[in-house]
Amino acid sequence: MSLSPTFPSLYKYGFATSRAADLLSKGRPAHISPEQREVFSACKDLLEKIIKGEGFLIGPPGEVHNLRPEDVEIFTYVLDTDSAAQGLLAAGPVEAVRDYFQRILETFELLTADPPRDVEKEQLARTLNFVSTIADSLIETARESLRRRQAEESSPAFYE
Amino acid sequence: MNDHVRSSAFLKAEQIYEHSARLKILPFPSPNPGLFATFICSVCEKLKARVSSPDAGEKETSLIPIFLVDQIAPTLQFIEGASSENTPASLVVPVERIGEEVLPGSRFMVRRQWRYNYSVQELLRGLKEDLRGLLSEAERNLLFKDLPPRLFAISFPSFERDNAVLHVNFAHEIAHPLEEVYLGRENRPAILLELQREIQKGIKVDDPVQRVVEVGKAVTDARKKREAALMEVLSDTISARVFGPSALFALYEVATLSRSMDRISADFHPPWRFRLREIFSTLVDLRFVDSATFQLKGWPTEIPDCISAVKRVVDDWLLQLHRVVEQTADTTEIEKNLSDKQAYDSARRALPAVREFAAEKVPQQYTPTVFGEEVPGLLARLHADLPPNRIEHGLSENREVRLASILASGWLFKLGELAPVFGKDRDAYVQRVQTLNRLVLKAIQLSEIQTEYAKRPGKQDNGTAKPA
Repeated sequence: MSLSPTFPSLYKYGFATSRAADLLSKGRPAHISPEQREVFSACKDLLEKIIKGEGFLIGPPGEVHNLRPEDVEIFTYVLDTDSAAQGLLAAGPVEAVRDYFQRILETFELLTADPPRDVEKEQLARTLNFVSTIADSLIETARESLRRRQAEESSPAFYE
Repeated sequence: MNDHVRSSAFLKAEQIYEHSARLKILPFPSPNPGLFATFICSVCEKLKARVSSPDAGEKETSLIPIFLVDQIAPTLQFIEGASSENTPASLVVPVERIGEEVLPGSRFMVRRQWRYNYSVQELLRGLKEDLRGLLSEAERNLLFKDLPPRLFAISFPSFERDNAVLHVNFAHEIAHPLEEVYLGRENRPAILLELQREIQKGIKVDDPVQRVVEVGKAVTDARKKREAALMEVLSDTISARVFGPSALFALYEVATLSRSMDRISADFHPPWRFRLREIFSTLVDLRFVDSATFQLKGWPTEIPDCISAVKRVVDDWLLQLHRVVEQTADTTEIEKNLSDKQAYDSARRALPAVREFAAEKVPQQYTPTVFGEEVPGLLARLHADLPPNRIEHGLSENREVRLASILASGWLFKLGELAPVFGKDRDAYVQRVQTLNRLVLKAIQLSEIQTEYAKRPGKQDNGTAKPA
């Protein structure tokens, strides 16, 4: 049923990144509920896909043995959206891009650990910035999906 | 501002709930649409609770109304379109039964849509996936507990409701969900890498970021086109295995509406000429069509004159279609674009595996022998304005026939006996096609009644049961 023109699992990750951004914008949570852990876990899952897509499109290709087609789409979308990742890739070396996503993944690993482990303030800010950027973009993509769906209604051409 | 978004989202959820609750009480030919309507009501209740929660932040709250309008509200048209009034009701249960045989554990609903297309969509998994970002696992499990693992909506073009023979296309749609099983068996990383290697050679972009993005988009594009080509061939092959030559007739009727026989469509569908060529070849493999003369096989040696005339017209139709599929304008078109060429080079290599997979999943249910045993008699019934639902030779031999034979007789009658009428008297043509549709739908209904009757204790061996 999902209509996600440029991003697989648009609403799943749209909700997950939106809720993660809402949560992290209040600062580092002192206590993490099971529900919040599910939200961060979904973000962790997203980052794993991004890293696999990055391995495929930038390399080295040997790392892509468990790649799924949606990983390529997700990474392409994220690179097209996130100016921080773009800046790192433009400046080179390519390892910096990998390290950037890896550190965000580590943040979610720390937040989903039981009990949650400490996260540096700067790292939390970088992670918040990333999920906010992706959430805003996915909300916009959802609006675009809605516009497309409205345009799908069959109607003859009317001339005014 | 956030309160305004919250109240608006709450109201939308309430309105969708009320609409779904009203639709739930419509008469449906099967229980599945009502089950789905109940589920949509429950989703709306959950979303109302979520937007009312003080935990819901600004971004989450702004996405919920979009989700409601984009994903939940459109489900109402599936429920409404599945009512008895909106569907070829006598065909719904037999189609659902075919679906449940091809995809065990799944349930189906048939519904009309306003777009001119046949299509299939799984209604539950996408929503379950979407809700993973919003509801806890316990909440999701509760929400989905009364539902089958998969519920498919098969859609048909609304105004074709009574065009019974065109609904052979349902078999093509039923087969589509098997694509993920086939693709799951492929070595997808290796296929993607192969596409990437060729595409990278042809991409002329210097900026490092744009280059990665362009390659990513082109690989995705080629992958989708490759998979769409394979999946259409898979579904067409299965449709031919279920319904025999009618699968080709029904496919061609939809193909005639296309803008181009040779281009890949904007939504990645393969060129129609490519599909017609492949299904033609499948019918040769299944021995419905002779590989040398391109004529239908399976006819008995002696047939009445009225049926010989039908056979001649249909054979001529097949010969003309063979000339269409012999041309290679679609291949020329594909070769013009880098990612299209890579997609189709890769797809062509996989076609034998796709055909093998189709044979493994759906054993040939309809054979030229059965066609020859049943269809000539059914054509004779149609010739006499009788529903083509049974073979009768006095009181001793009197049996129901397969759904595939009912539909094949309808197609052959339409192409072989009624098409020539069009040139002579158009009003008579329309009237006779309408009569044909009514007779075919009536035959399906009578056949279903007979099947149910034969299931009753003590009725299995009375010689009237439909063959397996």
